[in-house]
Amino acid sequence: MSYELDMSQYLDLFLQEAGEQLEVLEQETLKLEVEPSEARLQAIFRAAHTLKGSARAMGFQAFAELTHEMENILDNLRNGTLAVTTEIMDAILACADTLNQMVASIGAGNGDAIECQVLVANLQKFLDGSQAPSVTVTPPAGSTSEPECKLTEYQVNALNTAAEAGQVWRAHFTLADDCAMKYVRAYMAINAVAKFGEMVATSPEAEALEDEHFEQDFDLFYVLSNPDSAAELQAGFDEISEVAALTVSVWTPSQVRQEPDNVVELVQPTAVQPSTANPAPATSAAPAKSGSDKKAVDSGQTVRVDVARLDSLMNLVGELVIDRTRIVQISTELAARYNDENIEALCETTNHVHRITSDLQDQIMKARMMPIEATFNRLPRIIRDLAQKLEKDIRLEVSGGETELDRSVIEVIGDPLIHILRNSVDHGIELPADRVAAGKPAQGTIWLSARHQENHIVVEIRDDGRGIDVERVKANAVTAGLLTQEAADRMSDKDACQLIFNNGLSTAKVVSEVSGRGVGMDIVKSNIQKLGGLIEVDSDFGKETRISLRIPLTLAIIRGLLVKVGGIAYVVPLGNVIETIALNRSDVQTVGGKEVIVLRGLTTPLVNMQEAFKISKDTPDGGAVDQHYVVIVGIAEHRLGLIVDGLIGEREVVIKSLSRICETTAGLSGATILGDGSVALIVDVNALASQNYEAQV
Amino acid sequence: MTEQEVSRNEQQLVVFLVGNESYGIDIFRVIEIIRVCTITPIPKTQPHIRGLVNLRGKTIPVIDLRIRFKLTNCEDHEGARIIIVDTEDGHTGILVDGVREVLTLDSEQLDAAPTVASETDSTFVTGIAKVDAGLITLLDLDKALAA
Repeated sequence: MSYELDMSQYLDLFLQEAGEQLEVLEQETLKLEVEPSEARLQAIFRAAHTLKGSARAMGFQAFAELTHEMENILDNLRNGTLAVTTEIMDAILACADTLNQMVASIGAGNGDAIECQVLVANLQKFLDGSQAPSVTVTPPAGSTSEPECKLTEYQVNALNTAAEAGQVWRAHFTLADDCAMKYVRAYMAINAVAKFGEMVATSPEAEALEDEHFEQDFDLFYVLSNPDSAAELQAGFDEISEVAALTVSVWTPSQVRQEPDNVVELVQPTAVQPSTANPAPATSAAPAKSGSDKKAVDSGQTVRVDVARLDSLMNLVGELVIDRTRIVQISTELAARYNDENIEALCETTNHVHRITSDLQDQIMKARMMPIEATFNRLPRIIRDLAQKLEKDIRLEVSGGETELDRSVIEVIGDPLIHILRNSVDHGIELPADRVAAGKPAQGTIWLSARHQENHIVVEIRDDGRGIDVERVKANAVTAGLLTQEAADRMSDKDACQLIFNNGLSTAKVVSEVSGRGVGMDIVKSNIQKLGGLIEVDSDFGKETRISLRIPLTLAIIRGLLVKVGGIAYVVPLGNVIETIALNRSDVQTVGGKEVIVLRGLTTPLVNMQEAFKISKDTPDGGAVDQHYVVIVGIAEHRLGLIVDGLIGEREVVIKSLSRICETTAGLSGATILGDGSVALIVDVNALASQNYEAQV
Repeated sequence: MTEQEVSRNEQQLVVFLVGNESYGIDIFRVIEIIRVCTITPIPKTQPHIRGLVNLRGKTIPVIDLRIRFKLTNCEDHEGARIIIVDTEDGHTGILVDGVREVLTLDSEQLDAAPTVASETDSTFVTGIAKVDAGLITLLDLDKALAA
């Protein structure tokens, strides 16, 4: 019987589990600090315990050691010998950070070799400070129900033979409901037994164990080579994590009831704890308590899918969408030209294909969606650490974490969000004393919310801090040479707020470690623009600052407005389009040599696409257009009017990146294929706007 | 002669026309050859980048070798073809005046690039091959396509 196990196949699982448990650990620790509760501590403890167990199983010693020390601290917190203090929470969070690094390092194939002695020593300091806790003898783990198991006749014979020779022990394990690596747990138990004695039988049999063909329960029957090692073995069993219950008893042949089909059922074992005292660490029965507040895990309802596979599915659907549009166009043309019942049938089928493709596209988009929580969860920790460093008292209120968006978008909005929040903590929220002096509660609040709005997600960050000092922003902008004094004077407060997104402009008086170098908001802007999003700042000076991000839900397929410039079709992302109007020459005014159009009081600079793209007017029907149109687009805080020759319509387009060979400065973000099979270029309104903006300065 | 020797001493070339001259590129770089279809121009690029074509759902840039080689007659006539080649930047199309043949060339037939090149800029040339029908310029594809 071989218990050899190839660990590499469990590595991914370990990394995943460790990541999840670490997140739980961090989240709960942060919450614990705000409102301590027994359940929270329990959850943290459980996370640490699971981590330790998995790390041991995988042979990551440093990882296991660190989690073991954490567990000791947590245990003391749990039984009240240590109190929840900021220092201890800091230490635990620091450990979590190191563990995260280890996970990353293991994932990169470098093992868990990360220095953690300082952390361990730090943790032990807390322990030494506390009263050495008397070893709390935890109640015997698990339920009192009689575990049953099935044995084959052969196994019963083997057991009987062994029982004649000496005492046969039976260990009945019940794994936690959400136990991820069941065989690893069983393997550890089997290994523990092998150290102190010999295995007689397992139920289910070894192969079934290996294939995880068992529910939560399994039984090991073994003889000990030395009766005194029962306690050591018990300690070994206790190291196994995610065990909900464990009963060790002496097996007697009388427990066996012969079943007609050669399977015997074992009933009512005499549940005797080994007579030797239980010197196991106080961790022994901890997992057993997990039953108290376990979450329902629908492990059968979900499947983990490789992201690359989803991406390629998405690409395939993209191609399908293109072909669909093409087929629709062809069949429409055919229907117009011929009157044939076959063509009628074709059109019907085409319509059906059209619907199915749309549904397919929707479903795959949904499959790629993730709750924004994934990003939000990182933020409380950052706020907490920053606030502590700056000696501020800040509460973060998060809502809408369940709002879903494409995972590629989630990856990109993390950084901007962190920058915005750092800014709020550093510049927005005042020191408690200042807040009280200003008649505000000493504790500052930052609200972070997400919600869907049409095809976009709107993320709003609001703080009740000091707001933006518009005059100082303007003054800084003038000093930095971004604006003329005259322009600054004319600028509305709202426009002035948007200046904070300029590189090199910071209103922080002191450059701190946190922010004030004037780069943060610049990154925010460029990242949001990369996503084709809009960003807006608004502020009541002295009261609050509101920043809202409007980001498309997905990046692969966009809705676009098809326009004609010089006889060629271009796509303007619909997310940027605010409105389209027919151009009336008399509405156009010139300000500082630039053409602008005044729309409902808003002065919007105009860009003639034909000139911007240097498209010659002698292309077919290029110059012969009498009526031009203006597409008003919004890019982050800018508004811009694009003059085009004609509007063709709205289309769903699949974005194809441009080859490096044809990279230009023209303001194109990609290409797409239209229904007629021709290629159309996608206009990068951000680039056009910044070109326009630079031209102004 | 064994197969290995074939691959060592011989080279297969796709021979095509740009203007009146014959050029050759390694056959392994060629993905396929298509007829000239609608090319969507890209604004503000260098003139030899003709634009993008749709090759079964992929957008592929097309470079006009006639403009690249500074020839004056650049009409897209009936014989013109787009050769799709594999490059570091993915598939790229080269627009040529016609595709003549696939030629197996012995290394002995190869000469180094002449110092005084034809009307073509000699930087694109890796060698000259002498065949019965005349001379074939071996093109350094990567240099010819580089901006």
